[in-house]
Amino acid sequence: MAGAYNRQQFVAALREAGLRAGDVVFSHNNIGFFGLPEETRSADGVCALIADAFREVLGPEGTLVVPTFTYSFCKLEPFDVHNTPPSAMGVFAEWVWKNPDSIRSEEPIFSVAALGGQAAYFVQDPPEDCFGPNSFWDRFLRSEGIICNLNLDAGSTFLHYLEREERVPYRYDKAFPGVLVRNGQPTPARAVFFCQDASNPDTVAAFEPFDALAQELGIVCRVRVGRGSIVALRARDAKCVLREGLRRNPWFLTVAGRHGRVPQLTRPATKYFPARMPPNAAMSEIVSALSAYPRDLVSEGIDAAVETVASLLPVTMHEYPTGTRVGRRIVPERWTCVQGFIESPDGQRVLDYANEPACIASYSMSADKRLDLQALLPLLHTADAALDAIPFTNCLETRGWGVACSEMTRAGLQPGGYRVLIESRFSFGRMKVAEAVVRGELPDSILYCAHLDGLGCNDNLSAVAVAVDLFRELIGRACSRLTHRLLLVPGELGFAAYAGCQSETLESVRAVVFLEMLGGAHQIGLQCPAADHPLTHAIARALGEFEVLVEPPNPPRNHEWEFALDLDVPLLVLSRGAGDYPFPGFGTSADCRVSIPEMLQSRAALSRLVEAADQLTV
Amino acid sequence: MGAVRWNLSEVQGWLMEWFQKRGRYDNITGIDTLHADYFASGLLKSLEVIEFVCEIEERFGVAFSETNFQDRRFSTVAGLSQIISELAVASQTAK
Repeated sequence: MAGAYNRQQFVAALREAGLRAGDVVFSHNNIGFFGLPEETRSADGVCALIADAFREVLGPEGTLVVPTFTYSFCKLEPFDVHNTPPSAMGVFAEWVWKNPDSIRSEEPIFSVAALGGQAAYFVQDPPEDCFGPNSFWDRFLRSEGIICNLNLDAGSTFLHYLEREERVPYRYDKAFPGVLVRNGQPTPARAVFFCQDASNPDTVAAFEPFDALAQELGIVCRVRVGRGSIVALRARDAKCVLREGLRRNPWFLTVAGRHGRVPQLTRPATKYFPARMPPNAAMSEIVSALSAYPRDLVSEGIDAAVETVASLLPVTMHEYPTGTRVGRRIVPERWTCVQGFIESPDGQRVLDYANEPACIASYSMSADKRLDLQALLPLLHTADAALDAIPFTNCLETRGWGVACSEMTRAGLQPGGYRVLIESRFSFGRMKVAEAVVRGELPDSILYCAHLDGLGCNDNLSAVAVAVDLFRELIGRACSRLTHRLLLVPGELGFAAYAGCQSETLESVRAVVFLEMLGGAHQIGLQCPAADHPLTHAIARALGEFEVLVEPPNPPRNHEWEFALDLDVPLLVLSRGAGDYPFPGFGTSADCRVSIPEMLQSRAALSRLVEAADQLTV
Repeated sequence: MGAVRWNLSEVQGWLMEWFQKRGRYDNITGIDTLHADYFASGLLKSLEVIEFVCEIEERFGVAFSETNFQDRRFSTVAGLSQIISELAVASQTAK
């Protein structure tokens, strides 16, 4: 086979493509398409020839950067910058990585390897956000870098950085926890990938339209070498192309957009739908209806629950899309458990998500495992407190999978082979926070908050039902002095998201009252700030007839509390958790009923609390 | 060999056989051989693409251009089969 090109021609082609001494070049490549050069036939020889040609053109100050991405980190495999090989980035990228003169960034998903004068600058101290400020891509753009692809079109991973800068709606931040290996020692790490919804074919990346537009705008240089070609364009020009493309069609870099369609980002519910309830449904009916939904943080179940509540009283629905940053936390994807079960050696389902959602940990990844009993037992989560209760577990922070059962079920498992199957789906969703407002004469507000997530009844559908019932009445009456706001949140992340985004509303808030576990048999407790605060006195006095135990918030019986500390207003928790906390069955499937007399009493107490709070001097 | 109209499934069959003869599908389960990216999944090694391209051109009487190499369809058996069929038709029309 005759040589298709030689080193000198390659150097000339790089120069014709616009590369100059001192440039920073990022290159996706598939060098095989050039054919073989005249000088060598070995893979190492070809790679050395190409690297040498870049070196000659870029000079000692210039830098060549190639992708050495490792998607294995997303599959929970540890990343070792020195030993984890790139994931099929091509023979040239692998050669650069192995070159003793190159440096690789310790970036567990989108690492790059660099050769040349500025190599250290481009790989050092990568941030947690793969496409965030100070990432390689950010430095590359600021350094007037050049995309120079070998036998590929003008598309580049760099475009994802630009898409993030432009806040495109079809990609979102997603946290990947994992392990970095440093000097042989595993270290917990996290990478945040601005990713697409992997379950949605509409939003799959399509770079061809970018290439076409770059050509149309005349900002891409294409030079033939051997049988293939070099494509080059400046990073800042790529930014202009992307902006122009998004201006013409906001979806142009997605498969749907390419076919002239608008992608459906949030797919319609298939499993859980809002319940139809009479507007005057009793508290017990509300609890009963909502308890039918597994209310995972972002899920069809919690959407159906919150929409059911919205049919009972007027609410404003605040939505926080998947990927919304709330401090260091990120609103997760919508999680759907399609099916989940453990099958015994004789083919019987010992546990089935369809009957008992608690048996599959919330946010479990999909898994299909065949395990003998000895291997299965350590993996089964059980509750210490009650023999017949299944603990509520979740894998949101670990990206693993989990199964749970009662101690009774565990004890009854016979030796043999078991099958654990979890089929779950992660997709783009919206975390919802419902807000009902009783407008008073003054804009100054008291904020009441009950969390709606989880699988429990007393924790916390009881508080939701009590608050909904009272606010239905207050909204109908509408004669308060202060404004009273009820928030129904999907856990602390929902409260934190609301607190982070509704700063104007929060300026009017004078106190926050968290409502927890109001349907149990315990004495009513009121956790308060300093005992000498006027609000504490007023509320304690107002609740005198209920034999309320006034306690310090140490620790608060509420997870949202810590996200309200910055508000610098009194925080209170009204609960039936006084004395023996938590109640028996807390956090397990044993929390499946509420006491109606206690809920009625809680409602009366909350009503008094609202009246007392309404008189707060502002 | 002059260009002829190739049935798409014939082209796909030949390409899959190319990988099969080299044992690339051995010990691999759960792969969609038609739509898997053979670069990303490591089925095509190192500079083997040169040999791959030459054999395809010889077998089907087509000549790839540099733009064909940039076509993202080139990385799967299904996509490459389409490219080959299109080239064969174009070549025949030109004659």
